[in-house]
Amino acid sequence: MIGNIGLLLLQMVVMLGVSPFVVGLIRKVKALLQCREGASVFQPYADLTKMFGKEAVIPSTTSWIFTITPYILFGSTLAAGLLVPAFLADMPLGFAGNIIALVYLLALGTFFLILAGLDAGSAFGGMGSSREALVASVTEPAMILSIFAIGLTAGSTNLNTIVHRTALLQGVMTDPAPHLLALGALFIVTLAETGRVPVDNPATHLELTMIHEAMILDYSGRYLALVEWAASMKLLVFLSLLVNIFAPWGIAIEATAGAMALGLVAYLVKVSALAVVIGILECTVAKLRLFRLSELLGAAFILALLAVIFFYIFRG
Amino acid sequence: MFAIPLLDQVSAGFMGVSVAERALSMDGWALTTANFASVSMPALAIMLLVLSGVGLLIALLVGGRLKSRVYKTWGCGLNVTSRMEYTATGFAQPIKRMFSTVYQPTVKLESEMLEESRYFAKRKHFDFHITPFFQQYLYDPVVNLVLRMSDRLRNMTVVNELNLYLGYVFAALLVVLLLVR
Repeated sequence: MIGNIGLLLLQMVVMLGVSPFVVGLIRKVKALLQCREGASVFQPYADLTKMFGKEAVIPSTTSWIFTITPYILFGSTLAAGLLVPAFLADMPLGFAGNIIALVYLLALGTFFLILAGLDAGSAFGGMGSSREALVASVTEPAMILSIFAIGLTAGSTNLNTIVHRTALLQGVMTDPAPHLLALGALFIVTLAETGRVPVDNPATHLELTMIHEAMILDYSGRYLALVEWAASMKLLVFLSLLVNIFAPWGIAIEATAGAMALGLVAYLVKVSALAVVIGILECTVAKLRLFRLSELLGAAFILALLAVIFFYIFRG
Repeated sequence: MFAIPLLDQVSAGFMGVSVAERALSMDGWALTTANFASVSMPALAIMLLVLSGVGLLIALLVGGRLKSRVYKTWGCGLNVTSRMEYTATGFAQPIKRMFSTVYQPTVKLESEMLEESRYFAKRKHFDFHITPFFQQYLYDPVVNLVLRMSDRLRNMTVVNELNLYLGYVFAALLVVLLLVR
């Protein structure tokens, strides 16, 4: 019991501690590719600390939803972070929710964020909310279908079991095609859900292109810090899903100190590598028009559908 | 934890087997199906509450005190009025546009111009509606079929077709008896 609580605390520290680093790393990669020096990879930590210390401004037209949303968003994203295996394959809270529960924990945060965007009553927040609702509703079929493909290949929707079996190469290497197709689909979904470049641009403040930034426009101080931290944790949760479902090598199978230390190092290396890939992608791909999103996410949906079909074909 | 045992009493009456014993694990805390899926709503609820509290705690620890000030909503230097709010139509517009092949939206804008100048409108009428696709082509046919049949049956009992109606009842009884035997 005490060991489990220790593991959860460690996982929480990893999720909270690593997520700003990932955002900083992506920014740094983008800056280097644009021939800028860029801020340090640890700049997001300084930003968060500064924002926590600032006085929060609450718009006079808002209700309690506006003030409660950052906490709900933070809580639900952190809960999702505790469900996903990072450095250890068997998380103590694995019984609490499978991968579907994880997806809808994240959706709960998105839902409240959409409400909060509408709450302030300005056209900006409403526009962001409306677009976020569109992206969320178009992403969901692709995401759920790719999750089903993964669940079918691994024989389980429990994250612990999926990661465990993939790490020991059970049932995956005989027919890796569904797994790889699902990886493609889930990668596109990751870009869309976390507001990265082909879908949304996290660096812009132009109202024509904003989605996530428009929704949280009226937040400031500690509320903004919580929302931004939650956004970076959401990115980390998706990256962890990608690396640990599709390349769980190095992850600790048993909860021993040595294996976990190795798992942590492997996890950091894998997540950083994926963050660099996303940074490079953001520099080389232009943002899509909002109404062409259906093509990209339609492609993700088709990939996931193919993964499910291939699974049944290969199984005979 | 609470609902499944209650539902189980009902389903056990029909099937003679208790489902709850197989579906529930960890003293009823989690809902599990043979290593394929596991979910625990009470645990998730506790996690949400505790972890939201962690957010508050971090805000207190890092930021010191929770100071906040109420000020008017940012609106590009203008005063935000209720006319700037997003309406339901505006909110759903992207979805309607993306799925326009399914919903077949009709947009109509009629303007009546002033006689003096055609740049100033006297009256404008905007009309926007979508085809309720699933209702029109999936639900309505079924509902209408059932309604027509029940209308027909009612007419039989009310109007002078009671004999025909009794004939149908007899035929139905025959069929049921044959099937049951």
